[in-house]
Amino acid sequence: MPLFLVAAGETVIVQQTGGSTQIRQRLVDLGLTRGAELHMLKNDPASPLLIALNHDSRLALDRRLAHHILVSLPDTTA
Amino acid sequence: MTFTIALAGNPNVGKSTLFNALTGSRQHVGNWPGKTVEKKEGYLRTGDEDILIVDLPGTYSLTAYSIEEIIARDFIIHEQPTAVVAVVDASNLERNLYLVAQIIELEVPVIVALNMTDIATNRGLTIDADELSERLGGIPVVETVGNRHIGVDALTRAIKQTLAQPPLPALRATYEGPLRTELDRLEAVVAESDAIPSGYNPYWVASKLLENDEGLTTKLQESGASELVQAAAEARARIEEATGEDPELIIANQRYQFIHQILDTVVVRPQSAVVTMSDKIDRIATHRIWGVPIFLLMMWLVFQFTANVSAPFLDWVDVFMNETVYGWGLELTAALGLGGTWLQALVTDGIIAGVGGVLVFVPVLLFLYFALALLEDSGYMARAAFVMDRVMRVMGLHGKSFLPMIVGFGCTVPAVYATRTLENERDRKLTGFLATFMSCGARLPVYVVFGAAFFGVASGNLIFAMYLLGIGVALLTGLVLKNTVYRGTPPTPFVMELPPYRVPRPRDVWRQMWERTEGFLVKAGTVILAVSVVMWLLLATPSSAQAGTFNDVPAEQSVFGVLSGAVAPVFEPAGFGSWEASGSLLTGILAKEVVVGTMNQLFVDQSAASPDAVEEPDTSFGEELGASLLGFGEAALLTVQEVMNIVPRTINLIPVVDIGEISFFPAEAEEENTTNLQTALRASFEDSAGSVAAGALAAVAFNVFVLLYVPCMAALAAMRQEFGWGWMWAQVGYTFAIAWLAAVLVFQGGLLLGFGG
Repeated sequence: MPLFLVAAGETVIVQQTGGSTQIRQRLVDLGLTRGAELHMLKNDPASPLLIALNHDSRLALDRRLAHHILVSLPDTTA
Repeated sequence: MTFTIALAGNPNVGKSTLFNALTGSRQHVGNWPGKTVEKKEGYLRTGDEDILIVDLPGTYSLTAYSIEEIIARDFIIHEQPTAVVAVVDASNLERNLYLVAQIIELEVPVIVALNMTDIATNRGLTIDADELSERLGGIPVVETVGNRHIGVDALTRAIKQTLAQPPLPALRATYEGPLRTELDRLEAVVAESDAIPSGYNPYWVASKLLENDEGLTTKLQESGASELVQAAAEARARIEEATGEDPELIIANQRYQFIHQILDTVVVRPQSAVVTMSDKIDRIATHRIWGVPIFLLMMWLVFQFTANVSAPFLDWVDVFMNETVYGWGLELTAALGLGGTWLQALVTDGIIAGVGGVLVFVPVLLFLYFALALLEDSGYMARAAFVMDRVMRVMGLHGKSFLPMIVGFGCTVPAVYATRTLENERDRKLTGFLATFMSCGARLPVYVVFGAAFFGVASGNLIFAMYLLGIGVALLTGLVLKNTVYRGTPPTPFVMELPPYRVPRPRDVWRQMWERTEGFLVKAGTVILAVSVVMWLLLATPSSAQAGTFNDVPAEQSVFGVLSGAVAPVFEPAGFGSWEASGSLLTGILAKEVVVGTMNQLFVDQSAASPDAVEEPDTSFGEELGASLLGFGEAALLTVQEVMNIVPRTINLIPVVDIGEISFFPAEAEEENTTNLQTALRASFEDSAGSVAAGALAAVAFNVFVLLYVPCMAALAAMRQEFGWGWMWAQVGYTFAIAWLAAVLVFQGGLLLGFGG
């Protein structure tokens, strides 16, 4: 499912990132790759998403970009 | 031989702090050749030799997407430092090691400084530094807490050891599958080629070519290695066919896998996820509803702090410069036998009045920069960007563009350069254009003078209103541009890291505050000094033979007066059509700091402050100095009082509440303390506008004009350099038009609404 559907408090695993090559490269540089663990801290309408990435860093992420990031719940991939 | 050590690392990992700890005060700040990115160098003294430490720009990666990344990697490749100290955030190892893995691929000796270990411990992370060292092939790993000077000696020892003894090559990430096959094949081709510039190792070139690195591809094509580029393109195509993915993403993923495997045995995490203090604060600071009010409150506090708390010091410097130093200037020139000559007038009325009028605002700037540094260092700035994303979207930008804008509150020039952190051209230009409406520190003195002259204790409100108006005009302009020029080009997506909150470190805050104020002081000593001298000469030169002789001409009949008078009618509809007002605005184009300096020369000259009025009866130098020191102490006390009064004043924002404020001195002591300039200003504006109330209205209109009209020459030069001539002229035209319109609107609208009395 796309990342923007994940509710605050849920933890998911990244399956696929989207956007232009440049954007994907930037996401990778920040650690957002396939297999990365995301914990949704905030998902308020009309605001960017606030996520905890691999426990350690906090990222603000564009809502529209979150349409192109596909994630799954951890137990379904395990 | 001198050794060079490069400091590399992600943004916000405490790299600068570690750099300061290593080099102390033996550092030099400049720019990278041909770039506007700051370059810091310093020397580490280790007993027998000095080691040059170069602080590379903070980057997440060594791809060639941003100017910082290109600088960092070109430095490592071309300058070939003896070793690279990779500063990593221990509490965020995975992402930080991604950069380290890329540095290792450059085949340069690496020392890892495992910084901020205290934060990692607080989060319940256990990190085995020895294990990390071993898993990376035995490279030195030193645990440090830069801001508390922990581990700095150990790091120095590791550096010395690395210099004395070439270390083992670090382990680099291993790649697998089709990627590996192609990488090996391409590396062999690269190794055969003789078109590879020196300093590049074949493995790195091959991997970068597979990553489709733009910078390197262009460079190779220029050096005649297009067959390599061709071979790389074919290899990329084969990888894509075999895996269905972009090679650059495969490389990145495999790098992360490599790091993942290492960290498996290095880091032990707590069982349950820890909700950090930072997260708790973020729940409120980035709240959907409360986020914006909190941001506004923060800004309100900042401006209360700058306007009111600095006021006692401002008064003190004012008296010191315009009376004490002015007096010294008179005595000194008289002692040299220049009493009554034009040279004496040049020194006192020209230089001391002009430069002094500007130096008065050093306390204001110190307090403003102090407040901004606090916000930045604490981590709140990034949250402000998050909260403001919604607002920035209205202008067709995103939250990250907000950071250059905030810098614009300090100075427009660095704001224009700060747009470089944005990813695309469109965002950069638009942000730079709008950042000029963020009221910079040089405009602040104008509001301060006018606020004190026309509104007394309510001067903070004028200042706050000006800042808000600037933001409002930027919003409107952005909205219009978004729907016209930039129709159909959406902004790049907003992706930004939010560093954890922390208690600001006094040393870093001080350093920032001082570096920025220093820039202002340098300007005072150069541009403003020069403008003051030229101004004085223009003022002393009669416009015609009938008007008078040199240094004996009514200001209005001088060359400057006549020039300004010619411009003045333009401002009549805005209520400030006097030649003095237009004159100040004219010089303000050079630097906005000069506006107040010019006003000091123009207005004060004709009011009561003739040299005799200032000359004090027989006080000795020592007495004057003593009085000045006493005044300084009093100012310090008053400042404490103002800091304490921020609390009641903030609470009083709630309409029904009214709490008294503290006062250390009897009320009359600080009541009417208007300076010559303030009195003269009031008289002039009331005269040009028609009445007392209309004078206040014209004063507001004047401030609005100062806020909005062309940024100074330095800012224009920065814009030309970054965005080109066309963009710069567009800026000049637009800002003049909007400033004039807004000023006229304020004055005429105010009159219509009955504010003109």
